Amino acid sequence: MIQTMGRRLPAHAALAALLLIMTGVAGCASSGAREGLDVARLPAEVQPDYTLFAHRCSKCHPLARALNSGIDDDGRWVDYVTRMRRQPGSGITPEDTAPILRFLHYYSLEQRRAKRSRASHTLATEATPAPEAGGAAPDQGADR
Amino acid sequence: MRRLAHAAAVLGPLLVGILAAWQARAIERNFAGSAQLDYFLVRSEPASMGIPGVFNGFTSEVALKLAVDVSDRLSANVKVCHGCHGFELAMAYFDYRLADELNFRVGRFSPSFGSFNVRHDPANHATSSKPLPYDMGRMLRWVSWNLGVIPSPFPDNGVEVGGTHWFGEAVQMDYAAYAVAVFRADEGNPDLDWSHSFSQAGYLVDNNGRPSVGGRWAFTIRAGPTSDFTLGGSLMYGTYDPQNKFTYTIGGADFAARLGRTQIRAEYLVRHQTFATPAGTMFQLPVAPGTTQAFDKHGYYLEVERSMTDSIGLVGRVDGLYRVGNIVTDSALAPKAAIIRYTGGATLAVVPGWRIKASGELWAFSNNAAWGFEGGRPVYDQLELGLHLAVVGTF
Repeated sequence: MIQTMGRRLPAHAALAALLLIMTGVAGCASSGAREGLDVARLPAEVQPDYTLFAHRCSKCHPLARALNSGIDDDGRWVDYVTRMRRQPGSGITPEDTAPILRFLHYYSLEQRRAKRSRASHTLATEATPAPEAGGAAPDQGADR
Repeated sequence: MRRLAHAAAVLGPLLVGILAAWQARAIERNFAGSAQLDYFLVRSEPASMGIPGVFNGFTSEVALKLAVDVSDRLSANVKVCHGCHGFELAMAYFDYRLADELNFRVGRFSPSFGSFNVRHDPANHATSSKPLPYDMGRMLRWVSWNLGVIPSPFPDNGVEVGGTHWFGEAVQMDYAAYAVAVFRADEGNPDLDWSHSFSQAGYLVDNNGRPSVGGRWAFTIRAGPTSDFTLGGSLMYGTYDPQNKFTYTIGGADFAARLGRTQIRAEYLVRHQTFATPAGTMFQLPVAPGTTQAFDKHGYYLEVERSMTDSIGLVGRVDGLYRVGNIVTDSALAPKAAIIRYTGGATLAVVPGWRIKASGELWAFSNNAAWGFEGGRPVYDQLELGLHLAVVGTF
């Protein structure tokens, strides 16, 4: 058996790529973005439900798939969670659906409130000349 | 045009059905998608391997999916993706569910095999590349190896019966059994011909009129509030030539453990395949023309993934392929050939729904050594180093 390393990647190209990756990682890490929500910013009564949701619903996909789905209707969440529960190896029991849906109900309300807030802000901006930014963003209670 | 016509023939009735139901009542629908842009930095393939082209460049994988609950029992899914070989109708099927334990799926879908199938979307795995047993054309030397064991996804036309059942709150059982067209090759071809599954010449039309059959059985055991284990087994059997003379049997076993923020996944697959030795085709090992030969192709991976913070995850993976059996003389592979790949990577949430994936891969290729080892020590003919940098988003 001949053991040869062959021609390797040019060292400078590999180094440049590594630096690019490290710079990106370092830069983005400081942005505070996260896969899910900041549990500490959620109401205390919602936190256990969110924790269960976050654990069960991140087994096969990132949480963003659910959180960015645009769904803000309880009935659609029921269908969505039921479909996911039936996935092979989901690990979601029928008993899990109640706390997951409780969290998603809360999340939907926040989504709707955020939409209304954005809409009213847009209307106000169109009605009057926009002042410099600096006002507080609507408190969504959720980090997204 | 033929491909377009076929897509229209498949999609047409599906859309008509959905629209009819849509008008009859308000139905629930969910539109989702994902996109990954990856840059793979790797040196050129050596000319001595006789492989044109390199992987040093951008690749993208894009998918759009529509899921519609027509009624409490009937749902439809349509998914279109672009990436591995142009636009592909990755899903177009109806599910009719009598109970959680009994669901009938008809149409075009990826049959249930192994555990990676549910995570094949690039947004659903932490590395830029798929495990080698499931590769769909992004692996180095994919031409020589003719891909891995079974590409994932591998959509084709057929029917599947499946379901899930919880025994209390501790044990979940899943099963699936299916009959699907799947693999094909021309008469006398010594291996599967993947292009038959997407070429315009025979697009989506089976070549031998005999579907392949298979199934999967898995148990998920909940060991605590944040931990569970899954054990599964899969099997597929069928013929791939027009005369139904040559067979393939694919077996797989999978294990997954979730321990808090850590996920451990392992799978082993093997494809045993018989093939023709027509006169005029030269093989590396002596063979009488007209006899039936066989090879085994093994694939495996072990992957550990851990969320370090809410935004940063780390992943490590060892995967490989091992092929043993006669092979044509113009192949770059020997009758025993192996790949072992070591991958280390990280993911970073940039904004909600968007992640950066970075990973490094060390590839070791060997010929004539069983599993890439000799005397208990890894041996290789050549090493390759690759670096992936990708952005993946979902909605």
